[in-house]
Amino acid sequence: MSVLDLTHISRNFGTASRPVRALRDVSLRIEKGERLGIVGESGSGKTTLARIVLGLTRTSAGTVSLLDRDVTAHSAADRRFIHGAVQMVFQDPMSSLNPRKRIRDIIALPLRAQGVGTAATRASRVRDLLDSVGLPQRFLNARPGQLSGGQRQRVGIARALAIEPQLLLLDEPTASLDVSVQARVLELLVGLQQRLGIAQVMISHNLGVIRHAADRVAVMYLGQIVETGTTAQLYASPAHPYTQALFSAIPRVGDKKRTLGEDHTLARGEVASALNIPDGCPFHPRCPRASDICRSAEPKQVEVSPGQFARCHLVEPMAGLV
Amino acid sequence: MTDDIPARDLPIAGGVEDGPVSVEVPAWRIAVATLGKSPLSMVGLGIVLLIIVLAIFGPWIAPFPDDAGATVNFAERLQPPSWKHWFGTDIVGRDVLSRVIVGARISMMIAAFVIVLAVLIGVPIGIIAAYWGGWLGNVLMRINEVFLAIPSLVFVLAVAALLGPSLPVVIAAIALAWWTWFARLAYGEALHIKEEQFVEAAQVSGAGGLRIAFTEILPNLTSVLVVKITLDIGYVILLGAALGFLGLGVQPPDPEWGIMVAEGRDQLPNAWWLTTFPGLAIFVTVIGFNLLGDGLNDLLGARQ
Amino acid sequence: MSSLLAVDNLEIGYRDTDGVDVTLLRGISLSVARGEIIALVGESGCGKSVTAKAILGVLPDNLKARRGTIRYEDRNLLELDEAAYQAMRGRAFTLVPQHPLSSLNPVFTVGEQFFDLIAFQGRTHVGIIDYWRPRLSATRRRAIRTRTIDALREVSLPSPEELVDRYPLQLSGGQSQRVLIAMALVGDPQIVIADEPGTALDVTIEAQINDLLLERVQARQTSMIYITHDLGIASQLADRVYVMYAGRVVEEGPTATVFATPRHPYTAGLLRAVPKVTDESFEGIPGTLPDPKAIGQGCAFRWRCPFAINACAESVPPLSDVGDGCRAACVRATELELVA
Repeated sequence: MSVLDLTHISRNFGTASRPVRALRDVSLRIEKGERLGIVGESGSGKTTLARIVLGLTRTSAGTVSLLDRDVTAHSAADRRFIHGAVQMVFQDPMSSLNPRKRIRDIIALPLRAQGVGTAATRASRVRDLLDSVGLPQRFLNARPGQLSGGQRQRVGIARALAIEPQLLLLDEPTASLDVSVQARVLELLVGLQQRLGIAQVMISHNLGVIRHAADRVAVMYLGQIVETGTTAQLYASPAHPYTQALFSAIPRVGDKKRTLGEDHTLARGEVASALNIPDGCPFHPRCPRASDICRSAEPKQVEVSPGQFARCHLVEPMAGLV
Repeated sequence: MTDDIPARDLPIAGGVEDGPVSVEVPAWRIAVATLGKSPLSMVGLGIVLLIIVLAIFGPWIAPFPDDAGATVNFAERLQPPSWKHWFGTDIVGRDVLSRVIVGARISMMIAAFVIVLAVLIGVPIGIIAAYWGGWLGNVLMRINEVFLAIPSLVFVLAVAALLGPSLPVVIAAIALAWWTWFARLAYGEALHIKEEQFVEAAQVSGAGGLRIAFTEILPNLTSVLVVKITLDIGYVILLGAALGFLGLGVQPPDPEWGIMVAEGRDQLPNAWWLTTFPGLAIFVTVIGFNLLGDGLNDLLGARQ
Repeated sequence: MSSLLAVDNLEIGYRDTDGVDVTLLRGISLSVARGEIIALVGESGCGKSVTAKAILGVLPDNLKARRGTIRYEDRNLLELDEAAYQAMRGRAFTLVPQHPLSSLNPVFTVGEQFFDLIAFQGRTHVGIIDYWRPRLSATRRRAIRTRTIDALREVSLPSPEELVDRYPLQLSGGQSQRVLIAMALVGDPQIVIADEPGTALDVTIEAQINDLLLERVQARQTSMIYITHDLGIASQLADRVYVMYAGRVVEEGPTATVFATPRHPYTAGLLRAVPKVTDESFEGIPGTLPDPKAIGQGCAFRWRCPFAINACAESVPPLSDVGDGCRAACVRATELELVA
């Protein structure tokens, strides 16, 4: 039994005449204990995908199956089921904690809202959760405003783990943290996942983070998954030009100074808007290798190597980018 | 040569993950410190505290507490301000100072009840309209707008004239006019707050609408509400006094400031003290609450 | 090389609500030579933004410079009044700010925002007549418009003749950032201060922006102070780097050397903490930034430093030479073998 099965998901917003096509034909499967990384920039649809998995919004097409139960209908019962099995660590530790509540109430909320346990068992569970995220007990009565960013993010992690979810979503959990703090929180997440064995989806644009937090990776662009494979495969030889561009764009310590135009794999121009997705391959306006077929025909998934797929007409895996 | 004793026993001053980075300073201490910087706000605070003290302890402070009722003392009628009667005496010989002091209690009672009622009605309506939106929100806000369109004084006069003048009617009438402002304020703020990530986090946690509305959204409205309440108290008192002045509110012999102003009108310009002192009381009270409200506005705005 | 701008032992602080003196910058020294690019690297709270604001003369009123000087050409900028500063901003130094959409006024078109910049640069007060004069002259308007379009073209913005009439909200994040770079360069400044210009943007766009900035600055031989928390960007763009922690410079030197062989435990810790795309492991630095009031006499990093000794609490370690043109503020700098 897989934990999550998304089949040919699409999601449109706006009007029928001018739709914003946030997700187009996305399929994903997550097994028990698996760690999936989703890489994408703004406009890729990753946020919409996360909201569908969390049960915050419905799909326009396709099916969503959670723990072998079809929840596509998004009924109230479906949503309750989802909330009991899927939890999220949010990106911004400043705004994802209610500044007026105390830490112990923030962590206890999922338990209270879903009627788990008694007041006594809940209090004890909150204490255990605080321990497992490395925060001292005296934080229970504090308010978020008294804590640092890293400490707040740990509270967010504790809250997400409260009801023992089967699937944990993390939306850029370390993006708003300082470098040194980010590493500590990441260490905590990796350690927790190893101990608890929860299936996990980590959304991040930071390929360094994904490397250490995911076993499989899906790269999204303008509402589609353009490449997918194991972490080892993708980092050794990414096949899709967008993935290659992402790798080239990472500024690394020890890089020599770049001069403009030297690197051929950099993507040009701006991300297109989901209102106006280009014909053919959606990446062609920015692709350094685009050719005629790219402008007219939508590429299908090509198996580049066993288990590694890319949506590209001119697949040319590139090694040595890492 | 350097020491090579590891420094693990150095005092930790917020340098380890497990210390809160900042100490929680009680809200009142921040309030006092910030308000203290503005002389006007302190004046406002002083006036408000004075009025509250008078409202609570009036009958014990007033030099002639019986004069607040229906006593008569024709021997001392219409005396100008003197050492015995600081504010003079009125047409039946009652000490004006005592009546003004006890009148504070009536004004504050009106203010307190009106505000409590208006908040209890208006705020939930505003939050519900904002969070659920849709047709319910539309209906609620349209009803709100109907009430808002009627000028408060006219509305209150109509209700008081209809139901007969008395203290409970005054309170009910003003509250019915006033809830709309709180609904609108709560609506606007709640619209903002519901977009915050912690509301989404609460949804993901499985919290239902009512729980979110009242435990996530409502606590974040309190600063705005406190400011509005403070500023509004002045206007409510003024409205109550206006009703009293027109004879549609509290009835004599109760020493409500509005009535006293009205009664004193006939004696102008000779016995000027009959109108002036109650009028001053109204004036000072409203200004006091306004100054304090402005100070709180700056304080709470600065906190964000 | 003589330096164009030299900050010497700058100390900046404020008085909090309890009347206690809090120090944000505890004696910063840095210098930029003509045509040089330096990076100020540090995490939040290290004082890099305060330093930039001090140089630009836009510190909030409650922050006071208690000690030190900022030398530009022959003058101490801290002694200048607002009028003299106005004359320098835009000509001597400019800012490329962090958030493109909140740095551009949404109710004016790109062209209108450039107009005032070009027409009135360096002037403190513009009276009503002076304000309208260039607007009423068709030749002047045309000249300014041409100059604006050239500036936009220089930052590789497509169709600058149309873009000049657009409003900021019609532009993407990357385009707005390019507009800001163009605005910073239009007055031909001596020093550009870039305050984390790519952080709000997507990774691929940020890479383009940094490339652009580097190319334009090198072409004009302008100096640049690049503020960032990203060591990779500092590595790519800067000739020299200053690593800051809790209001002090803890290490400085040529970028490649400092990052290859760090001599201060904090620099080493930062380098180790970045999750790398390669297989290398990473490791965070435990603890948090200390409360500025609690730092006292010693090194601000001592609570989080794996090599701390009692001497670290006794006095503030001075920046001392550690060879190869680098300096580090650590009493044990010479004896530690730090691994990045």
